[in-house]
Amino acid sequence: MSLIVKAEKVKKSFRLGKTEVRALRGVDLEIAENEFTVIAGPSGSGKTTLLNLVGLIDGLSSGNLFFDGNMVGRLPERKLVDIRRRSIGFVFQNFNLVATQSAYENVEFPLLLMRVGAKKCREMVERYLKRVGLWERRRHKPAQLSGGEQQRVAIARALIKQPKLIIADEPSANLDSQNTREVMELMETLNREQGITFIVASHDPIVIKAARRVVQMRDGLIDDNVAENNNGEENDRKNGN
Amino acid sequence: MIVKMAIKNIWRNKRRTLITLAVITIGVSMLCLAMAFVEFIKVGYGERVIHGQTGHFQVLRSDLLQKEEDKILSFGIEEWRKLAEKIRQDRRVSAVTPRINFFGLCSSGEKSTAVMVQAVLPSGEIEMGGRHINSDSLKKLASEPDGVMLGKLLAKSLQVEEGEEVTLLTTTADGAMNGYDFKVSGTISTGYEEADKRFARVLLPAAQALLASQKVERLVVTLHDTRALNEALVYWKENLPEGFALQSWKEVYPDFAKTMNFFNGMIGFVLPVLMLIVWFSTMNTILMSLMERSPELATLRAMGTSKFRMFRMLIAEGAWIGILGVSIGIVIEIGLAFLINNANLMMPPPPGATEGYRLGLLNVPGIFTFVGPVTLCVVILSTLIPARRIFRLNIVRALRNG
Repeated sequence: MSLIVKAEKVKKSFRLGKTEVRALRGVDLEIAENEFTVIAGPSGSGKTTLLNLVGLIDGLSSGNLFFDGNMVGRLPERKLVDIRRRSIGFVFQNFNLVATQSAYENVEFPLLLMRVGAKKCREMVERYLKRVGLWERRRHKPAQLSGGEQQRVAIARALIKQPKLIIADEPSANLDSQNTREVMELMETLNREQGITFIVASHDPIVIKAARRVVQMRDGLIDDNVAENNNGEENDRKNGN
Repeated sequence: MIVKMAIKNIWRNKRRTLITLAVITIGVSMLCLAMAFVEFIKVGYGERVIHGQTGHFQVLRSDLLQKEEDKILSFGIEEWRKLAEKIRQDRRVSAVTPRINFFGLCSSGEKSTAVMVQAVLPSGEIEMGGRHINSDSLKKLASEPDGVMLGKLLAKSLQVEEGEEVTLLTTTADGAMNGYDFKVSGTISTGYEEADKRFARVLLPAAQALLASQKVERLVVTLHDTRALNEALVYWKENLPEGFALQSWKEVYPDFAKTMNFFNGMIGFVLPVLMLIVWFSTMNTILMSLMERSPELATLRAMGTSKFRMFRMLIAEGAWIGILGVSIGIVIEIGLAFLINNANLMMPPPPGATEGYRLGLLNVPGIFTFVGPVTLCVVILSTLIPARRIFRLNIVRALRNG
């Protein structure tokens, strides 16, 4: 299976006041297509920083980063925008839906960026909103939706452009356990059925339990002392494989 | 998509947008009102001067403009009827009437004072004045061959009343002194205190008898439409007989240009002040909106929206606020102008004048085609500065702040 993400000795540091924070200290990571990976670790371990780099919304300080086989660590902004638009979907902890847009419009937005025709746009939005069970609530604004519903809209928004990779940063942070389970089940099903690669940063046990692969981080490094959990067998059992 | 999002975004914080809209609306309507007032003064006052005093242009002997007359009417027009007839042939011309202006001494027997006398043909003056003047005093003057209309304050100073006699003394065209008794037909008000103290109006034949000359000083020409003035001036400059010149009404009455300069100066002061208020108000709105929405803007950037597209969206938001504000401002101004024009409000007399004037507003398309685009440009330019921040937006930091 080909790699969708490959990080080689990736370092990231930034200044916080007068202090230099070394958020990543040389991370090596490979994530193959169709994987469902959870990056786990305590707060400040570098999970979000790693996700920002992999999601191409932040620049690395040193090392090499490959996305879908291409070196992307030092690409110009224009090309990064293009990759993000076509190949990467984001799910955020705060959902980050556009407050003035309805659920339908939020999901439609990535397609408009990609200049998809109106008819196809309608069909796809309907399909994905139905997929996340929110077609009936398509006219609702984010403020009129529950946290779980907002996160499902965010998932549909990330999913609709059929990206190669979906990055979810603490997707359960603002959800109760019931909603967390539902959202994770949805992501897991999408991963299994559509083969979309998921990288999720979380320290929520429910999320970690749903993952096929768990990468532990500590102090800006992948913690080799903690063996990568492999829930693949459990998932395979659930999937009947 | 950009337009749709921009329209929705401007109503994100309704109160703030409404305040900005109110500032733009008030700015636009006040500026349009001020300009409509100046336009009313320009047209209303201008037409009143043209039809009541100066005509659109005056024809006179060139020498009168270049030299000092030794004796009254030495540079007068002899064959004035022929010339007047020739000018009247022009289809642009509505009236041609002769005049003589001269100085003299007016005596009631007990008291004498220097006066400026205007000799006219009432029929010609009425034709020239049309609906712009009150012709009662001219009709009264026409009914009395030896009548004189005195300025209100002149009559008061001479202590004479209607029906009493006064004597006008002046030098004739030959240089001799001559006197003529006139019957006071009534008093007139020119609207200006100084003029009312010195002004007298008599019939042209009586003045010609007094001056012992059949000449007139000038021909006053009015046109059907002031817009044809430049064309008529060009034509008559080329087609007047040799030795004749013409003066446009603005040359005859230079105070008009001074008045307009004063009003234009006021507009020139008010315009930047109002635009500055619009500038800061819009900039504040966009800046606040940008700061509040930075996590959302960062999300859109993360999803692959280019910086330039987001910049255009912010500019579109400013533009929509501008378009709305300008449109509402213009509608309000039109409504206010209608109310003011129908309220018959009177303005107090200007300095030196004895009569006030009706407050009126004249909306012409030029006002809106100037104020609208200028305000819109100011609004869009004031959006540019905060909108530029989108180019420096750090996605990670903005998402973290959310």
